[in-house]
Amino acid sequence: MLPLELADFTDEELLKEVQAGNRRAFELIYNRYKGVLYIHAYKMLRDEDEAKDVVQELFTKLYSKAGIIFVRTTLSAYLYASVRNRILDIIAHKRIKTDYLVSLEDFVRQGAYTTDQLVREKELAFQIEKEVSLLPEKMRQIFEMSRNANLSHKEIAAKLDISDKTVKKQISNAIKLIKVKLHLYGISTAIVCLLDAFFKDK
Amino acid sequence: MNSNAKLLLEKYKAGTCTAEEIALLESWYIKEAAARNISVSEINIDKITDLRLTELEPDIAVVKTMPRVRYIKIWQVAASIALTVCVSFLAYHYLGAFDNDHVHPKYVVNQTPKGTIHKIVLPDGSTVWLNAGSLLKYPKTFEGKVRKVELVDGQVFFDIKHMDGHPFVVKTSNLNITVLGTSFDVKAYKNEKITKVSVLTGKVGISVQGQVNKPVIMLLPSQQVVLNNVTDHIVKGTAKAVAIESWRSNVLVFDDEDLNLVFKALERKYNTKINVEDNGLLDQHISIKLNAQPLTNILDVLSFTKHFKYEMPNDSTVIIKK
Repeated sequence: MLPLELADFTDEELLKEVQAGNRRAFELIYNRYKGVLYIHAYKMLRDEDEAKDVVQELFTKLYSKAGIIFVRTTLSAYLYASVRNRILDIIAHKRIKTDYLVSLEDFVRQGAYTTDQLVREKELAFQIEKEVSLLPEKMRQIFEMSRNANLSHKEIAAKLDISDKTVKKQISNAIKLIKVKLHLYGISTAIVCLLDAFFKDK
Repeated sequence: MNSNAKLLLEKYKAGTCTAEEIALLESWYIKEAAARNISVSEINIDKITDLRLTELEPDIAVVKTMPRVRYIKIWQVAASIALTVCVSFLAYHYLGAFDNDHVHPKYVVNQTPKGTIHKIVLPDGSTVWLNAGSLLKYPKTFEGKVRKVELVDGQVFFDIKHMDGHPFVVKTSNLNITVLGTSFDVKAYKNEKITKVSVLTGKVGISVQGQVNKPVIMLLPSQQVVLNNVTDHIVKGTAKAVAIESWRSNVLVFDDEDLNLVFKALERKYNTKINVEDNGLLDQHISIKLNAQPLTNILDVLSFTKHFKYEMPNDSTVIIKK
């Protein structure tokens, strides 16, 4: 049951494809995350256009910087942190009317906070992902299926009683093998994708 | 009234917050996100379905306007190759236009993931080594009198070429380090409480940011300063050459360091998370040299000398017990 369709790839595998120049992989990442990121941005900013801009700028940057981006834990954690930082920036420059600054001032005075960075990362993910139920049906399915793709490596590992890393290695070996075979026929991956797009509307 | 909050947000953006400030701000954000409710009726579904990769559209346009060559297969391949070149070219130009850093990329940001060491040559021919989990920002070309780089996070060993009249300055979140031509190590991990500068050869001048009137601290070979990032307390001492430079060749040397720093270094080098159940252990000091070897070997040695037990429930977690 190896994931041979891009849609079955985990986020991190997709990011690798993007870094290798695969535009379609980037669209898949975009389709997975645009919904939850938009809802979160809208919830925090209460401004439809600002929220839309936040999401689009975030992905434009991701695309142009994909090659040098280093994802420390997961792509989702990276995206969630990015959307938070953009929203914080908007708050700092008071591009929206809110009482955020007063609230932050109070919070600083109280001085209670979570020191563990991983705990904060998980809580942020929880806060953003809990709104997934508000997404339009199809978009929600895409998001949830992507969670399954990210999970499936672990599940396969659990069933076969081998480590998650071994499974990932075998999957990536399989992908490499397919790429080598394609190259044997003189077809580079980039060209395969482009040919695909080229003849799609015929 | 809100100036503190605004200042904190600006420091956060500039990447100059302390670990405590980062924790504070990020915790506040989570609290705000949790406190805000939204219902499906408030969401404009059209806005979401309208979300498209508009900024990336130039290359889609190119695909659609390509002449359609159908008869000969080789033409199609050739067209695809031309298209690839064309798309890359346009993508380079268009995408760049949406990102100020990319229009005229003035700076290079080099970041090392955990478990790896990068060796890079700077535009002036100086060589630097970035330890695991580090981020160094430097200009594509050095302009003006001063050669200036910024160590945003992590540990970097600098071997700087001497250039008459062009001092080399390393900026960390709290120090300015000025040299002419020398080799030295700067350790400024954001998740550690101290910043450390150690000199291998030559002469190094250090000033604490925001303390312009204080005299510059001068360091000679085998000397180091340790700055407490929280209290700003600064201590000058000595360091063994081997402890300064050996990490570059994957050898970890600790000269009377506390276990807290040892575990942090192991976490970065082996890309793992070390959870210590007994905090008292962290303050214990150790002097040890660890060659490149499996993490379990190292933990065996440490647990034997410091009398603790450890478990590895998986490849990326270590639990240290009493």
